Amino acid sequence: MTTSEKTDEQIAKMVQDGDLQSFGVLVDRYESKIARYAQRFLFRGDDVKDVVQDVFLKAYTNIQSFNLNRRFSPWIYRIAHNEFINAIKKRGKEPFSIFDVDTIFPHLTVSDESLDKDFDKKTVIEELNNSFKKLDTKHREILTLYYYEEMGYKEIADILEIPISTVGVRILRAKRELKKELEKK
Amino acid sequence: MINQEKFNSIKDSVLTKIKSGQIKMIPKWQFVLKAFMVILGIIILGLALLYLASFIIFTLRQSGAWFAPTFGINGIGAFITSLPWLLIIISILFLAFLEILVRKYSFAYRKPILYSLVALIGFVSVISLIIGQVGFHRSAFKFTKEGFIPFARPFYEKFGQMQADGIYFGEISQLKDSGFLMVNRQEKEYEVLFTPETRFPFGEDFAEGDNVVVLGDLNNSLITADGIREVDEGWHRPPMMNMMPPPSIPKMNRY
Repeated sequence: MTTSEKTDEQIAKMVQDGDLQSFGVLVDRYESKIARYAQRFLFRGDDVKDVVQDVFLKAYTNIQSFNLNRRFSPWIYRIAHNEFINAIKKRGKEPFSIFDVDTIFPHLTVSDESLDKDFDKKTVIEELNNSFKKLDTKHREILTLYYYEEMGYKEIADILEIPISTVGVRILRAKRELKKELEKK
Repeated sequence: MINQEKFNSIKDSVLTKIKSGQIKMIPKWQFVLKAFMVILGIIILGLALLYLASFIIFTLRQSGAWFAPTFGINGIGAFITSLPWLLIIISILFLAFLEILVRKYSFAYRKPILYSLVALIGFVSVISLIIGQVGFHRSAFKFTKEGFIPFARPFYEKFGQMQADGIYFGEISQLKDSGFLMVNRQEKEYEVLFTPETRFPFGEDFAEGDNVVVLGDLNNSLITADGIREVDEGWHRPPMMNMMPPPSIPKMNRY
């Protein structure tokens, strides 16, 4: 089996064992995804590249903390999330609160189907392209992960370290905010 | 659309930094140590929380305030004003730190905070009640009085002998026509007076030697009782011993 045929987790194991070159394969696989995530979430131009590079450097530094029994994708996205939050805080232009009331109380599970009742996926993506800048940071991030990165609730919950039910509620709130932006137009 | 060319050099740049040694991998043992410290922190905080919570129950039992809510609204008011708020605030802080540590694990963060908090509070409450039943703090209190565990003595002396406003805990020394004489832990004698309004949530069948909690107004050494109830636990012996039958003293009606 060639390196390119191996799973992310198998390659991560090789890197943990000292095969530094294999880390390049992981960078190849995730570079555009993390860059797209950064572009949507951070909304910046030139320095997005630096932040994305920092994500991979952080991932390499911490690769020994990666649990081989778990999936690599949420792990690297979690690192990216933390780096992006730090970048937003450094920039200081956007309010970002770690505290979220939605993580405290239980919510009825909001299914994917009910989310798409007021908006279909195509509409959301089109509107996101137009109104992204106006959305709250948290909403921007969750819509990016859900619609652009096409992740499931559990995966998003692991990346953001929030309850699974909160993922559904946050997507719903994000879509409502998007709808309001649409109505303003 | 994202300009892909902009990101082409990221891989080269990252690999160059790695190969040149600018960026180094943190060794596995550091992560293992960190995880170990978090688990140790959870264990220490958990034990400290259990100790504090059971100690709060102990202080409330010692003052008699624990039993006051059975006397109705006045009893609930007396119970609330008697709560050791400093210990409660410290416990809440411990609980918050514990929650923060526990939420690093997926089994905790995947559920709403309320769930893990309720589970933690439930667990701590049940274990604290069990610790109370075993008489751990009573024995510790006794040891500190006898000069053992000297570092804990000020703690037990300050909180273990707290008096609750309007709540009196003692042993009946003599029954009288309209009440009884009661001796408290400090060997001080009170006369307890019944009135038509006095509540007896667990009956009025008192006997000399019974341990009782009285809710009422104190005037000199006379307590006009709003409520009286017998309690199982004496302060002379650990609660486990209370399961043994008491020496037979004939029960007498107060009239």
